[in-house]
Amino acid sequence: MPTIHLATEDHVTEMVGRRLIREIGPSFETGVAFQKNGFGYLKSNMDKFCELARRSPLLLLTDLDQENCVRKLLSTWIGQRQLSPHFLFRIAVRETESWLLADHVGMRKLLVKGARNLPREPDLLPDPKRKLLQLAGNAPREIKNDLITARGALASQGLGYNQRLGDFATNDWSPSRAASNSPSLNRTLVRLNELAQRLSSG
Amino acid sequence: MFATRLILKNWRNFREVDVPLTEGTTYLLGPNASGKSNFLDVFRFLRDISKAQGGGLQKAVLDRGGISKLRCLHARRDPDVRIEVHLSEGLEENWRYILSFRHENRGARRILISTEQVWHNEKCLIARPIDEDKSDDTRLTQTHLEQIQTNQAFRAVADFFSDVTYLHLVPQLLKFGDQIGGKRLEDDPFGQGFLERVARTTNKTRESRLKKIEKALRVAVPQFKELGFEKDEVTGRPHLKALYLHHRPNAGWQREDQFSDGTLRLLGLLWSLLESNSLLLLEEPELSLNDAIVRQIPQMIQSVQKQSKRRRQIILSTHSAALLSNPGIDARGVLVIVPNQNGSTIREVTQSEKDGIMSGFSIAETVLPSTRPESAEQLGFW
Repeated sequence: MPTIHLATEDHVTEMVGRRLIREIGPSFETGVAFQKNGFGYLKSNMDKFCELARRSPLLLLTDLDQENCVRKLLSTWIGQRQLSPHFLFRIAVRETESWLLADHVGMRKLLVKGARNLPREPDLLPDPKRKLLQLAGNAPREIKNDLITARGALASQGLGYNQRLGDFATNDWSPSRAASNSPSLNRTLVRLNELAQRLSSG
Repeated sequence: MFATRLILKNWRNFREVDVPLTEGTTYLLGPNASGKSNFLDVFRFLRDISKAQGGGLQKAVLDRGGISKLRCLHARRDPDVRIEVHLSEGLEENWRYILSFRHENRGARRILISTEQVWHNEKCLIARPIDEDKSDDTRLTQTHLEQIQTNQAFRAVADFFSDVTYLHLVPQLLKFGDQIGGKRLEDDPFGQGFLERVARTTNKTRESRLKKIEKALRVAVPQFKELGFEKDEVTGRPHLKALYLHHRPNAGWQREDQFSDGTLRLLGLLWSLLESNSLLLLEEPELSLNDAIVRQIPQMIQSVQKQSKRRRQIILSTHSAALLSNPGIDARGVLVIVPNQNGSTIREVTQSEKDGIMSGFSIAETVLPSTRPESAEQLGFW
C-alpha cells in the first residue's frame, strides 16, 4: 500500500491533509504525520523534508497567511533546493479555513443557521479564520461554544476549535465539493492525483 | 460558591500576594520550587481548619511543622500570617473571610488569632478579637470557622472550605497499597483510598460516572474497551477492572494493579471532576500521561463539566507546554509565580503576553517561556 507522509502546521490542517490523501484512493494511506504547532517547525526542517521526499512521497501543507504572493513564499521556503517530484509543497490561500469554508454543503451541516452567507470565493477572503468564527456565532450552541470564546474571555478561539474542525475535516468535509469553490484546493487535488498515478504506475 | 480573590501575607514563601481567581479553571505556572504547592496549600490549610473531624487551627498549623515553617522567611516587622479569601455565589452573595495569626511571645507559645473577620455583602458579621477574647486569650486559640456554634452565620463559607479537594494521585501507592501498607493521610491527597471512595458511592451514581469515564478512556487509551467495578469475593476489597481489545477475546479482565500509571491518573482526574461541586486543586495533572492526552486536558475538563450539573472551580498547577498549547485557554485564569530574593510573587498575564494571545498564540508560547529557569541549559554539564 503506497504511503504519503504529511507535514502540517496545526491539528486542523493535519486532518485536512489526511482527508486529502484518503480522497485520492482507498489504497493510499498517510505515513508519518509531522506536526508541531506553527510553521517555524516546517520551515526549519526543510532540508530534512527534502531528503525524506527523495525516499518516499511527502505532502506539505502550509498557509499563505498575510504573504502576498505564492511565488515569493515558495522562494523563501525552498530557496535553491531541488524538490523531488515526490514532494508536494502546497499552499492554502490564505488559510486552511478557506478550504473548509469552500465546502458549502458540509458547512451547512456544521453551522446550520450560521451558514447563511457563506463566501463564494473563500480564497479571496483576507482573514478566513475570522470569517469562520463570525459565522460560528449563529451556529447551534454546542458548535458555537466549541469554536468561539465565551464573552470577555482572553483567548483567540474556543477550547474545542481544533478538535471540532478536525472532526469536521475528517467526517463531513468533502474535498471535491470544496475544490469547486477554491482554486488553490483544486490545484492541490490535481497535483495529488498526478502523484497518485505516478506512484501506482511506477 | 467560588473563590474570587486571594490575598496573602507572609504565607510560606509569599510575602505578599493579591490575585483574582476565576470561576472556571485557574492555571498556576512557575519554575520548580517557586511555591506552586504552597499556593495550593492555602486552601488545604483552610480546609484543615474547618473540617468536621479533627480540624482546627492548632492542628492545621502543627501538621505543617509549626508556624516557623508556615511563616514567610522574608517576613519583616509584621510577624502575622494573614489569609484573606473573597467568595461569591451568584451576583448577590459576596463573602470575605479574613484570618491572621501569630504565636505567643512567651510561655507555651501557642498559636493565637490576631484577627478573624467575616463579611457578608459588605456587612461585618464577625470581627475578632472581641472583648471576651481579650479577657480570656485561650479563646484566641480557636477560630470561629472551626466551631459549629460560632460559624452558623457563615456556614456556607465553612462548608466551602471543608469541601475543598486536593488531588495528586500517586499510582504506585494505589497499585502496591497492600505491600506498602502505608499510613494514609486523613484527606487522602495521594489517592490511596481512591477505590474506597468509588465503592462508597451508590450503584447508580457509580455506574453513570464510570460510563462517562469509560467514554473518555476509550479515546485516550488504545485497545481499551470497558471499565467495571467489583468487590473481591474473598477479601471484600473494592477493585476497578478494565477489558482491553485483545487478540484473545477471552483474555479476561485486568485489575487496577495492572493498569498503567497514566490510565490510573487519568481515571482519578476524571472521577474527581465528576465527584462534587467544590473547589478542586490539581497538582500537575500531566504526570505520566502522553503529550497528546495532556493537550486535551483543558477541553476534557470543560466537556465533563458541561455534561454534569455540577461545576467545580479548579486550580491547577502545571509545567506542561502540551497542557497549555490550546489557544482556547482563557488567559484571564493564568497566574504566574515569579521567584525572587524576597520570596515569590504572583502576577497575571502582562499586556505584551495578552497581545500575543489575542494574535492566536497559546499560553505555552507566550507565558510559559518566562517561567523557564535561566540557567537550565547548564544542568546538562553537571
